[in-house]
Amino acid sequence: MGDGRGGESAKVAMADKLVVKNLNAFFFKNRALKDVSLSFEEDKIAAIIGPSGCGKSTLVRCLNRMHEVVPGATATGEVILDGNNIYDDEVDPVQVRRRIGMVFQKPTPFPTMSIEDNVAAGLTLNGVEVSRAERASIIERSLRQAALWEEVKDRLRRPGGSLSGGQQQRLCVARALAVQPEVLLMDEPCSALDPISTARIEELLLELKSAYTIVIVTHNMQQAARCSDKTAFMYTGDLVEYGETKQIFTNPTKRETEDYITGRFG
Amino acid sequence: MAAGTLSALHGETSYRIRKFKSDAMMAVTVGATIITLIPLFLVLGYLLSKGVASLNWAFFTHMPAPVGEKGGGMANAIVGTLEVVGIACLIGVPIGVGAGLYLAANRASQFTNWVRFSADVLMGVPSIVVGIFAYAVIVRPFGGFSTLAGSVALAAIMIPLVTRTTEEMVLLVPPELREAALALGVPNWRTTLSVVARTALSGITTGVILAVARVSGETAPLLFTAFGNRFWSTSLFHPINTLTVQVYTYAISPFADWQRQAWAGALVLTAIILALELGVRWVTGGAAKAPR
Repeated sequence: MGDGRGGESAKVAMADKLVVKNLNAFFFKNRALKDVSLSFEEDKIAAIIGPSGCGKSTLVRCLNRMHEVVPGATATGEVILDGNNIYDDEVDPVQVRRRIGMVFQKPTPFPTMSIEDNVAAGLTLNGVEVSRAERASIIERSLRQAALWEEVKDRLRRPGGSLSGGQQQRLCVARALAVQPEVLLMDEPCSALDPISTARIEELLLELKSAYTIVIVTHNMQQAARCSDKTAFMYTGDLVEYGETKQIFTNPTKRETEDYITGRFG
Repeated sequence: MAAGTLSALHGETSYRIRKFKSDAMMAVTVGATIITLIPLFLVLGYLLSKGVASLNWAFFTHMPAPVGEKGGGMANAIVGTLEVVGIACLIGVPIGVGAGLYLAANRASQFTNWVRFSADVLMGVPSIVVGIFAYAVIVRPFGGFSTLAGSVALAAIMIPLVTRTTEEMVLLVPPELREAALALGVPNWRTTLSVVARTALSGITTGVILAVARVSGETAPLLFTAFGNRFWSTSLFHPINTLTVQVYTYAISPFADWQRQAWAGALVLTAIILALELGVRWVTGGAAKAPR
């Protein structure tokens, strides 16, 4: 809300968790992001909106170095997490991804694992040794944070795929939270969900923001308006406008933003 | 009104021609299916009628009898087949699965295309040529026929099969699962093994069992690698008897008793392979159900 700082501020403020500077992303020779610079504040929710193909997903995927997982995808520029550029040569993307978690558009529970194994996957697959009791408490804590505990506590050993779509997505949120990341990226987490499940995820975001820096990509402008503190509008790989959500939706400074928000295109 | 239109349609010549074409094609495909199944049942039926009569407990427990003596069995050949095929698996499965995982993980590289093409070519190489390869690589340098040479020949047949099925099965795993694991900060190798290969496991297992069934029936590459042995041997470095070679030897012999035993050997071999194929059914059927 109105803390007086503009989105364009060049200085790195204390509360800026993640700062993006001159980020360019490519798929082979195709430039998907054009010199994007913005910063995400600690314990706030930032929404990224824009028409399909504008680079929203590419932007968040660059934030935890998931972009480069796709063959032919490269990125240049800086993404600074707590003062350290995650694109420095000596940085291992694996370490970055442990600090910056991600939830994808499609719910992706691991089909070979039970509900509880899915939640603990980030620990087991990374070889983190925890006691039985510790593991159980991490599972319960993560599932409670993801507002799924009450629904699954009696069937933790059932397969993750046995849950409904909305529950599966919350399971993925729990899985991302179990490794205690500092930043949570969400790439259209509600686009495959019905309105009730969507509402649950949105409630969840508002509860989580006291502890995490959250960046959410969404096609749904109401969703951005409802739950974000700041909103970025992207168009054809450019960051058109970034500012307080209220200002973006009530008094945008750029013509394109206004056209998009009022539904004139996109 | 609607009913009237429908019956009018039924009366039209173009509709009747289309219906006739459809029925004719259906008859052709059913006929083709039946013709495909006839040899299978003829072979199985003939094998059963000829083989069962010669099958007795001694067949499984006794050694081949000397020429002119009645009775005897194929105990050494049964154990030999299991040993040669087992060691072929120990060599072929890790290499094949590993190469398949590599191909699936590195889709875009030129090297991958090259390896995939080689695997496809290898699958088409006649098995006797593979036998010559094992003869040149193992038999000659080691100075004699051996179990190991037979296993290497069979492994060389298995590897391209296992490689390609593994690759295909891994590619069926949605890429989103891979990304989900990577996004949790799981290293690439661990993601490939614990998430991607784990998810594709039932498919990979099916491919392996089919490859085992395929090589269990091979005779040609064993003729000049494992060679055959009238005596009991389980040594890696000596010739060993196998069911296929024993059946071949007995079947072309002039002795009626040996020919009867060849039928029994063929029946036992078929039963082993059939059991493996049923194993495939069981594995895939089991995996199709939700894991507990």
